Amino acid sequence: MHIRYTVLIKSLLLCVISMQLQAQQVPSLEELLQQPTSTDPRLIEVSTSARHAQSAGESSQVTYIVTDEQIRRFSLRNLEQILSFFPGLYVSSDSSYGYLTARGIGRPGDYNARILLLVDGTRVNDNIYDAGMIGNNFYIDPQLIDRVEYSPGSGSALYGNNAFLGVVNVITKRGNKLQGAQLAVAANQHDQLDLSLSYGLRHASGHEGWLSLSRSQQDDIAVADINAPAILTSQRTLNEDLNHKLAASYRYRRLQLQMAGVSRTRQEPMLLAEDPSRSDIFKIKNRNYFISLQHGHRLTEQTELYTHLSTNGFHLTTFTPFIFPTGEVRRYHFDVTGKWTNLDLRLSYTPDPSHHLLFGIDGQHDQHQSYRFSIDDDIPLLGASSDNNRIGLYLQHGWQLSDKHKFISGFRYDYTKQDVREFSPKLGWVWQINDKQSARLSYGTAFRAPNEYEQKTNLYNELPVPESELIRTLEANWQAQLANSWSVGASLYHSRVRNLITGNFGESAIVQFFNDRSVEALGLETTTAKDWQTGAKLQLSLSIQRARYNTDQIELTNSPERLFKTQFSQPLWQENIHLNWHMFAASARTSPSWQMPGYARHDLLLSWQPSSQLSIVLGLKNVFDKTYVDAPLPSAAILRQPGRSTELSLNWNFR
Amino acid sequence: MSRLLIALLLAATALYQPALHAQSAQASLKAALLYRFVQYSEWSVNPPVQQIYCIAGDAEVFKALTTMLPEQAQTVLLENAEQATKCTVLFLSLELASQTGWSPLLQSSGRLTVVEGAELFRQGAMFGLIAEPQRISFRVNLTLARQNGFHLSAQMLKLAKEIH
Repeated sequence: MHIRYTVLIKSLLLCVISMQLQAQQVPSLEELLQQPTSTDPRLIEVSTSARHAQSAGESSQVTYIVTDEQIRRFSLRNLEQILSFFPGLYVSSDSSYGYLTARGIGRPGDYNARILLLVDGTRVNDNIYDAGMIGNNFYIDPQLIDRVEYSPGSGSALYGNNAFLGVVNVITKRGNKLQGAQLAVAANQHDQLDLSLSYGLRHASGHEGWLSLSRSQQDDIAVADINAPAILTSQRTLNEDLNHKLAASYRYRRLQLQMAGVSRTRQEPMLLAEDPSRSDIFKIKNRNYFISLQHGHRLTEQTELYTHLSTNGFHLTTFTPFIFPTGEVRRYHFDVTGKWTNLDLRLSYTPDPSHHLLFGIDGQHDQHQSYRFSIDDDIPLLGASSDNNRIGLYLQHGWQLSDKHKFISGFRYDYTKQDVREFSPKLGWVWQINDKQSARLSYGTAFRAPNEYEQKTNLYNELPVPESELIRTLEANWQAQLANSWSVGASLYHSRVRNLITGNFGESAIVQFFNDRSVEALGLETTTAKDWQTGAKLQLSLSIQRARYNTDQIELTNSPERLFKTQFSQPLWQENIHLNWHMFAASARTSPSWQMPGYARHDLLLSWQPSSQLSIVLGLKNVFDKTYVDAPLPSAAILRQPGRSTELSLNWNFR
Repeated sequence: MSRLLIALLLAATALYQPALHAQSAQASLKAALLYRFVQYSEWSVNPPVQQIYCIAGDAEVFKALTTMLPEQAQTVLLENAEQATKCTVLFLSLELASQTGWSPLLQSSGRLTVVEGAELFRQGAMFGLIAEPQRISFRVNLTLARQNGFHLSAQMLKLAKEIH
C-alpha cells in the first residue's frame, strides 16, 4: 500500500516538474542547484582527457565519472572501491595494496604504474616505483572527493610517462560543498574504523579553504593467502593497518594551494626463512606528501596561462625479521626515499571559436631517489642514491571544421637525463552525427620508461636496463541519447604493446626486469545509463577484453576477459531513502599456477539523508559472501578477496 | 497473460512518461537559474529600466523563461548576434561555442552574461553553467562582473562551484 502511495506521489511530482514555473514559484537558488537532472553524457564537463575543462563530447577520448553522490550512496571507502565502479577497470587486493588491471593489462606487482594518478591535476605516482596508491593510504578521503574522472586509453600525448593505459583524476570538493565542520565515521564488522574531521569555509570575496584530519584503522585482518600455514592464520590479531592523513586546500579565484600527507603503518606476521616453524612481525612504514600551487591567468581574450608547481615526497621502510647467526631475531631495514618537484606550464590559445591550441611544458626534477639496506639500521649492507631530470613538450590543436566535425591532433616529446627520448603523437576525429548521437575515432601512443626500481635492480645485477614500454591504441567510440532518457555508449579499441616491462620474480635467484614479448589487446566497452524522474538511477557496463601475447596467443595473467558492472539506486517510501545495489561480475583469470574462476558479487546498501546536514548508510557488501580469489602479486600467491561485511557510515555536517 | 500485457504496458508507459519531460524540465531549470542570477546581481551603474532577456541557441529555455517571467520583463529569442544590441541579460547555449560572431557579445559592459560550458565561459562570460552528471552547478567570473559594473550577492557566491 505504501508503495502505491509512493507511486501516486511521484506521479504528481512529475506533473509539477513538467508544468512551466511562474516567477513567484521559482525555487531558491540553493534548491535549484540540488535538483537532479538527466544530462546527456556528451554535455557533461570533464577536464582529464584534454587537460582543460570542456564538454565530454568535444574530446576524442571518452571520460567516465564517479560522483560524490555515488561515493556516498554506495559507501565507497577508498579510491580502490571507487575505481572498481569504472568500466573496464578490474581491482584486486592483497589486503595491503590495491592493484589495477585496465583494459585487460595488469602486470603482477606493478603498483599501478601504468595508470597516471592525479589529485586536482597534481601527479602523485611516486618517482621510485611509479606507484599509484589507491587503498586506505590514498591522500584524499572519499567524503572530500567531488568526483573521480577516468579517461582510458593512451594519454601520453598530453601527460607523458605513466599515462599508458589511462589517466585517473581525483577532483576535490570546493567551497560550495564543504562549508562548516564535517564529521565522517565509517565502521565495518571486520574491525575497520575510519574517522575523519574536516572544516571548510568560503568568503564572498572568493577566499575558500578546507582542512581535513583523518584516521583509519583495521585490526585483525584476515590472512589473504589461501595457502598460508596455520601458524600465520592463527595470528591474524597481529595483522593491523593504521593510516593517518592530513589534507588542506586554499583557493582564491584561480589560485589553489593544496597539500596532503599520509602516514601508514602496516604489520603482519610472517614465517622466518631460516626456520619456517617460527614467525615474527613484518612491518611497513610509509609516509607520503605533496604540496601543490596552481594558478590560471587570463593573458588576453584569447590566451590563458596555467602554472602548476608541486613538490612530493615518498618514504617507505620495511622491517623484515630474520634469524641472525647468533640465534636472535633481527630485522632487515629497507629504506626507500623519493623526492621530486614538478613544474607544468600550459598556454591555452583560442584565436577563434573553431580553433583551440594547447601548448605545454612539463618538467620533473627528481632530487632524491635512494635506497638503503641495513640490519636494524646499524649494520649497513648496501645503498644507492641518484637523481633525474625529465622534460616534456606538448602541443594539441582542436579544429572545429564544421558544425558536425572536429579534428584533434597533437604530440608530445619527452626527454630524461637517463636518455629516454619518446615521441607520442595523437590524432582524433569527433563526428556529431545529429543532436542525439556522436562518433569518435582516435589514435594515440603512450610510453612508460623503466622506473627507478626497475633500473637500479638491473644495474645492481649488472644487467642491461630494459627499454621503455610502448603502446599504440586505435579506438572508435559511439554515444547516443535514446528515447526515454536512456544513454548508451560503446568503445571498440585495439592496442599493440611492445617491450612490456616484466620481472622474473620467483623464476631465478636474481630478480631482473626485461622487455617481454609484444602483446595485443582487443576490447569492447559498453555503457548504459538511465535516470528516472522518480529518482531511480541505473548504470550498466559490460567490458569484453582480450589481451594476449602475440607470439603464442597465451593470455595475460590477471586479465579477466569479461567484466559486468551494475549500479542501481531506487528511492523507497521517501525521496531521501534509497536502496542501492551494486553488482560486479568478472570472468575467469589466469595466474602462472592455475585458473581462478569467475564470480559475481553483490553489495546492497540503504542510504538515508534526513537533511542536507546528515547522511547515514547501512549496507552489506558481498551480500552472498561469495568466495573469490585473485593473484595480483609477483609470487602468484592465491589471495582470498573480501568476504561479506556489514558496514555503517555516517556523515554529519555542522553548518 | 492479459494481466502481464497490461503490466508491461504500464511499465513501458511509466518508463516513457518521465522522458517526455526530461528536456523541458532541464530547460525550466536553466531558465530558473538565469532568473535567480539576475535577482542576485545588482547593476551598480545605469541599472536598466526594463530587463530584456535574450536567449540564443536554445528555444526551450526561451519558452520556459517567457512563461516564468513577470510581464514587465521582455524575452527575445536571438537568431543572430546583431539582434543583441538592446539585451540586458544574455544567455548563450553550448552549441554556440564553436560558432563565430557570438563571443563578442560577451564583451559588452552593463550586460549580464550567462553561458553554458567552459568553452564559452573562457571567452569572457560572467556566469557559466556547468553540466554535471546529475546536477547543474555554476561558476562566476567575479573579476569580470565587477569590471562590468555588477555587484553580486554574497549568498549567490557561496553557492557557486568556482569563483574566478
